[in-house]
Formats: sequence, structure tokens, C-alpha cells
Amino acid sequence: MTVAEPYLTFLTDFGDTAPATCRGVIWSILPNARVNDLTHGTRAFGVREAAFLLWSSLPYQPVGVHLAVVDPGVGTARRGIAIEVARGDRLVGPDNGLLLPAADRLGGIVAAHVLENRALWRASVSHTFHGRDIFAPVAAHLAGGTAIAETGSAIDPRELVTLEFPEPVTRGGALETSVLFVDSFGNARVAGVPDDLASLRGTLTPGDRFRLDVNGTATELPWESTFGAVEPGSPLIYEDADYDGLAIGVNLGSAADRFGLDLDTAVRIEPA
Amino acid sequence: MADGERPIISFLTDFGTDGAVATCKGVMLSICRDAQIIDVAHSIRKYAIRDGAFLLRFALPYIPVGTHVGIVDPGVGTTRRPIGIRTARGDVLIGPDNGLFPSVADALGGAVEARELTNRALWLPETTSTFHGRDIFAPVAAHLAAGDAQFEAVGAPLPLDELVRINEPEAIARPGEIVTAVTYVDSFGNVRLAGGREDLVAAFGDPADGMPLDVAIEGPEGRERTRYAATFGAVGIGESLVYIDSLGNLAMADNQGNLADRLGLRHDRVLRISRA
Repeated sequence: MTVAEPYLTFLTDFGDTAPATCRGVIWSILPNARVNDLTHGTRAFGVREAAFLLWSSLPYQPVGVHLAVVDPGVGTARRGIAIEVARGDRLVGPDNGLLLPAADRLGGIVAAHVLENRALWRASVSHTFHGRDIFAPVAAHLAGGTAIAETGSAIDPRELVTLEFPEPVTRGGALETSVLFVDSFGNARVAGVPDDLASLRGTLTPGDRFRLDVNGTATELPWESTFGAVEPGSPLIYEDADYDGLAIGVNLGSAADRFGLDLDTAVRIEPA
Repeated sequence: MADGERPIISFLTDFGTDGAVATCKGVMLSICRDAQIIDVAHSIRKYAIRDGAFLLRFALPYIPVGTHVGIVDPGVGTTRRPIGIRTARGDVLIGPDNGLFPSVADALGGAVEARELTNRALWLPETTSTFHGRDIFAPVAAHLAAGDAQFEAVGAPLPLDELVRINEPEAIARPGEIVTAVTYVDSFGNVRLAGGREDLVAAFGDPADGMPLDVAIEGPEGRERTRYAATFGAVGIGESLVYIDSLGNLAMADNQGNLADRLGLRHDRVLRISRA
């Protein structure tokens, strides 16, 4: 069969239309590119949520070029970067921490370059749409075979901007954590791993009861392996499929709506 | 598949557009890099198995023979079985055994063979309890599409009469009246009803454009004066019509309006349509 086409993934907070313009730029440079849109519906300016999505999705993608633009600093002094990781992927986007968690999960950074080579950009560059004018064309050129060193000068990966993610704390017999991401079902990922809960009670077995404190309300709920283990409308804590971490859900319902969970909502979990 | 043709994988979920769909596609393309993936829908109501079945029946007959992944799966990780169904047309349907597929298979010539997905060699090496789309359904479908596994390899045979089925409401037509119920509400607010053209003919004879009809809505009560018309633009803007949709279903809509919202119509609401 045919040789596989160059593969790109694409994530933004742009909504509907602007991504199509960027795909047009990509296909103008590389007509046989395959573009898998990860999402364009992340919360506007939500760099940490988008970083979480890249982190959770890129390990399941073919090796390729991953273009991600959640860029509240567009047009300012923030740098554009291209990163090569140990698995062989290249990641392109703003230097605001967006790309780094995923880069770590793909084996770590092998090379990082600042986007400086205007020959790889659109001829005319705006101040407010670098997705179209810089990142998309650079990603297309990389997918088409341009060496990453041609994108600009190499920089020490330690100089890249990093994001601060909340760290869970075990204190007073409880896990104190906060929400990292809410998915479209209303399931909420919180910082922490099942071992954190196990450490509170020695073991962790489906059916174990916990007390969830959020927004001043306490609710008792079980640790279970999946939604259907509890009655419709009942809450549960489970190990999330995306990151082996903790998540709060409601069977056939929305935990976000039920408990008022959103990004950074503080959550306290202790054995009941 | 002819040489040089891309294997078709169609894909329907209730996952929304926050990344889970793209993760599944990444898994498919990692296994079957040439696949042509057709997104049927990912924004259907959460957990609405019947809506998923409706949309698959609506779309798949027009999609080339291929591997069709359908995931509306409120029972993920429970004892509900992951299954594959081979159809008379040559398609394979991959997803949960919760009633999503039997009516879809019927629309593709009928189910020929069903199997439970038990062959872990075709799954991702690590599976979770809450994301079988990524861990089981996407990789099995991609292996079938790539041709590196035959349908017989997905797992143990499952008698067709053991598949979970969902009862859909049926229309009752008698001279002068049809009793029907809402089966699907689309994004325009157009309402699909149980029954089809034959029920309309049985009740009212060959319907003439503009034939006045009276629709009584049960519990909570409602009433709508309307008329039969072939298409939306045959009535005034904001006016309602009873029509036969592009699949032959009995249906009701407002021209350039949202009838479901206006009348508060949802699944299974019973309607009595009579001549006005």
C-alpha cells in the first residue's frame, strides 16, 4: 500500500473556524499531511488543561509532529519553540509550558529550538495569529522533512518556561488536592494517585468508603473500578484511564455539576 | 478492498470533543495508518444509546463497507460484553453489547455473525476499566481494518439471539389516526416519530401537501394544529409540519424553528395524529 503520509496532531483553544485556516496553511505546504485534531474546544487561555490533554493523548498517537497553540501571550516577548523528544516526535507551540508535560511522557526532550527562521513562516506575520503565521507552517515544514535545527537556534531545555501544577498533600488523615481537568461527561481528575488514598487506610479495595469535602459540603462515596459499579446518579472515586490518577465521577451523571467542581476547585478526601 | 483503497473506519461516540476521540483515532492510526476515518458524530447526548443507534442507522448505509466503531457505553467496565457483529453487507460493527447495534445491523442487511471481543492480543497491552474505546474498541477495529486480523480472531462466537436489544416504540395506525411516540430529536429540534409513510397512508390515505392535521400530545397535555407537507419550506417560517424524513420515518418540525423546544418534546412522548 501507499507510503504513510506525514502525521500531525493539532490542539488549540481557537474554537471552530481558525483551526481550518491553520489546516489550510499546513496543507498548502504539505498537501498529503494527515492532521488529527485533538481538540479545539479547550477553555480559552487554559494552558494547564491543554497541557494535561496533550500529556494524556500524545502517547496514543503515532510518532509525528504535534502542533499545540494555547497562547495567551501571542505577540509578546514569549518565544515560539520546537522540541524533539526521545520517541522521535516534534512538538511545536509557544514557550509557556504547554508542551513540556507531554514531552516528558514521550521520553523527554532531546533538542529544543527557538523559532527564528522566518523562511519557514508565512511571508507576512501578524501580532495576534501566530498559529496561522508561524506555528502551523513550521509544523508543516518539520512534518515534510525539514530538520529541527533549521527552525532556529538551540536552547537549553532547562531554560524553557514550565507550568506549576498543584501538588496533593496528605495531612490530618486526609488527602487535600484540587481539580486538574473536567471532561465533557463532568468527570473531574484531581491531583494524586490511588496510592495516596491507600496510604490513608492501609489498603484500597473496591467498595471502600470515603468522605469527600468540596465547597463546604460533605458526601460519602465509594472507591470503585468503574461507573456502573454504583447506582445511576451515585458518585464514586475511581482510577482515571488517562493518567492513572484519581477522578471523581457520577454514574450516568456529572460530578462537576453535582459538586460544583471546576479547574482548581479544592477537594478533601478522607476515609469514611 | 481494491489495491490502493483506504480501509474505512467510521466512528460514533458520546465523548464530546475534548480529546478522547482524538486519542482513539491515534490508536487506530498507530495500527492502521492508511485508515480513512469518518466521524459520524461525537456530540450525541451522553449515554443515549438509542440516539447513537438512530444516527448509525441514518449514516452507515451511505458509508462504504468497513469497520464501524460505535461507543455509547454507560456500562463500560461492568459485565456488559464488548462485541463485534458482521453484517450481510460485509461490515463489522465494534462496540458494547447494550442494544446500540442490532437495529443498525438490520439496516446493513442483517447481522450474520456476532463475537465477543475476548482476544486480548488485539487490545492495547494495558487496559483500564473506564476507557474501552481507547483500550479495546479502537485497536480491535484497526486490526480488522488493516487486515492483520480476520473477524474470527476477535473472540468467541456469540449467538445472535443473545445480543442485548432495545425496544423502540412502534406506531399504531388506524383509519383517521396514528398513535406514535418520539424516537429522536435532532440538532434542529426536528422530531422523529415511530412509524413511516405506510402508517401515514394507512391512517389518511395518500397524503396531500397541506392536509390539515391535529396532534394531541400526552402527559403533559399539549395540542398542535399542523399539516402534512413534503418539506420545511412548504409552510411559513415558524409554522409546523408533519413530514416523512429522508429515511422514511414519520417526523415533525417547525420551518426554521425548534419544534422540540417549543412543544417540550423529548424521547417517548406519545403523540396522537388525527385529521383536523
